[in-house]
Amino acid sequence: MFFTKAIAGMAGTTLLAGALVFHEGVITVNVREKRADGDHVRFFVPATVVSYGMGLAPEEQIRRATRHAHEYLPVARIALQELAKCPDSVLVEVKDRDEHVLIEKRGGRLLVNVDSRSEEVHVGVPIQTVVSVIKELESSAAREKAAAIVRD
Amino acid sequence: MNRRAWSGFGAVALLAAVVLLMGAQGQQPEQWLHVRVDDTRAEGEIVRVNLPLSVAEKVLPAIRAHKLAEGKIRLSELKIHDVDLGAILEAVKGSADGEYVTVQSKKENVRVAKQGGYLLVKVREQKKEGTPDAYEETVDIKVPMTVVEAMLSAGPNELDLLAAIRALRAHGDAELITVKERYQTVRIWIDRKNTSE
Repeated sequence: MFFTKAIAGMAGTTLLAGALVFHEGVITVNVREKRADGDHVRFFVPATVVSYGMGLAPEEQIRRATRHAHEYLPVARIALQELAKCPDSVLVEVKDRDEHVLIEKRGGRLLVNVDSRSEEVHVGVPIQTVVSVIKELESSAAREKAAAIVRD
Repeated sequence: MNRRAWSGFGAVALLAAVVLLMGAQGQQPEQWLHVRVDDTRAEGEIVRVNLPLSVAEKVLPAIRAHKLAEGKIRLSELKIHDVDLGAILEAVKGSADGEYVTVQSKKENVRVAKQGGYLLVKVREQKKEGTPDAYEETVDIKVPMTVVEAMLSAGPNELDLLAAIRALRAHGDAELITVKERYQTVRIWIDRKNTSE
């Protein structure tokens, strides 16, 4: 009886975690060096890790990161939120003799692909993850501003 | 099928048509701003930028720089070589079609005109000796007058960029800027496609 309940509990937790990861998406990074003995690094991080990680990051580190960028955070957030509503498209493409850079929006994700003579880099980030990180940075900037007003 | 059934079916069909029409009106196709740079030299770059105008419309009010706030630029900051752009645009706005500025020099020819609902600017830089092309560089700017008017709608000392973007969205497809050099071509235009091919 206990064993059945434990299995059911574990299955439920796994299902819930899977649903959460599916909902938030996955950050993918794929780097391949083109030389003969080159490295190939590939990893997947559930976006939830980033969302919750932001909450655990030291406040001072976040404050330092937002000190110079806080003016641009709302602009970046609004741009990404609007972009999420738009149809999929290549947003930026730069191609020259040595390098091909492609930034595209596909299915709620921002994809950055760089193909150069020395390496190939593919990064995929769910737009909502970037938006929630920016929101966290904005809240931190607002808290610092309020603290500065109280100090003065 | 009896008459009551037919009338019920007709009412449902009518309702569906109305809902579809309302949906179609509410869902305007997205307008895209495209920038395309082609450099034909071996080491040259090809650049493509595709930006939905709806994004620009939403982002612009959030940008606060010293010249730009709430999607408007203070006009006193926009003088170029002591030329009051606002005064020129205001004068062109209220005038009939015609050629307003013509500058011909050894270096370049500049023509500013209003024609068929567009403000046209054409710059032709004269070719240097020994080059095969007729002109060293050509610049063509074609801005719908509705956009110019929207830009001036904020008042005498401001350019309303947000209103201009809205006017661009309402205008539809338009070729805005084309710059041609011997090796490089730059095009900026808007249309409903999400690719710049």
